[in-house]
Amino acid sequence: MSEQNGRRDLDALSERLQVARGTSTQRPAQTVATDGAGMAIGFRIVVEMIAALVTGFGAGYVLDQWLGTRPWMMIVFFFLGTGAAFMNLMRVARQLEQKKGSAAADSRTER
Amino acid sequence: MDQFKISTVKQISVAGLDISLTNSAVFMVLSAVLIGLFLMIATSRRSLVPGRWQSAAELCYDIVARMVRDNVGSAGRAYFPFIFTIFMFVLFGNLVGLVPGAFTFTSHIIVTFTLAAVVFIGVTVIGFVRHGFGYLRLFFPEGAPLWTAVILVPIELVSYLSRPVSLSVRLFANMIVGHVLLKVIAGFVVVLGVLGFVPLAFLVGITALEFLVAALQAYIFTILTCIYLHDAVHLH
Repeated sequence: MSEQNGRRDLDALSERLQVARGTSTQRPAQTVATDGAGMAIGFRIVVEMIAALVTGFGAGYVLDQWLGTRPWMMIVFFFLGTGAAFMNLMRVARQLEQKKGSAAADSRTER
Repeated sequence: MDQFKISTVKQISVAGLDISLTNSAVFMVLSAVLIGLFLMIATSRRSLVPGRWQSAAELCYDIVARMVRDNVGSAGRAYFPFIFTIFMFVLFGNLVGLVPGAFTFTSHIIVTFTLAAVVFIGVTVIGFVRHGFGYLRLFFPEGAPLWTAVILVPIELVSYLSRPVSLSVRLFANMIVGHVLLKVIAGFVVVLGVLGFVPLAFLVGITALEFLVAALQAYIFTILTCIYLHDAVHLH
C-alpha cells in the first residue's frame, strides 16, 4: 500500500520535473551562451592562423640565421606557415562540427 | 600600464641567478594556496547530498573529468591529475586577477608560454614513449600519395610547432585585452563628468563578460590540452 503511494508520488514528481525542465531550457539562456561562444570561436580561429604564420616565419628566420641563406628559408617557411594556418583552420572547423554533432545527439537522448 | 608591471617583492639570488620573488610569483603562490584551501574546505565534510562548497568542487571535477573522457578516452585517465591542475591554476589565475588591485599572472605571455611549453613538451614525450618513432606518422596523413610528403610533412611540422604559440597567445591576449578594455573605459568615466554614467554602465557589463572570459579561457586551454593529448595517445 505504502509502496504504491510512493510510486505514485515519484510519478508525480517526475512529471513536475519534466515541466520544470521544459520551462527552464527555453531560448533566451541559450542565445546568450552561444553569443559568448561565437566570439570565443572567432578568436580561436584568428589566433590559430596567426600562430601558424608566425611560427613558420620564425622558423624560417632562425634557419636563415643559422645557415646564412637569407632570405630563402624565410620565403619558403612563410608559405609553409600559410599552409599550416589553413591546416589548423580545417582542424578547428572539423572539431567544431564534431562537437555540434555530439551535442545534438546528447540533447536527443536526453529528451 | 601599472597593473601589468612586474615588481620585486623580495630580492633572492642563488649562485648568481636572479630568482627574486616578484608580485607575479606572489599571486601564483596565492592562487595555488587558494586552490588548495578551496578543495580542502569543499571536501572536508563529504556528504551524499553536497552542500554549496562541495557542489562547486564536484562541478570543477566533473567538467575536467568529462573533458578528459570525451576527448582522450579511457586512456587519458592517467593524465587527469595533470589536466585538473592546469585547469584550476589557469582558472584561479584568471579569477584572482579580476579582483581590483590584484595582479593577473595569466596576462603575461611568458607565464602562459611556459604553461603551454610544459604541455607541448609533455605531450610530445608521451607520444614518443607510447608509439616510439611511429609517433612521427602524426606528420603524414594516412592514405595520401607518398610524393605529397615533400609538402605535407613540413606543413604539418609547422602546424605542430605552432601549437604552443597559439595556446599561449590565446590565453594571454584574452586576459590582457579584457584588462586594458576595463582600464580605458574606466578612464572615460572620469573624463566625461556627469555623462560618465554611460561608460560606467558599460563597465558593469564588461566586468560580467570578463568573468565569462576568465572561465571560458581556462576551459579552452584545458580542452586544447586534451585534444593534443588525444593525438599523442591515439595518433589522429
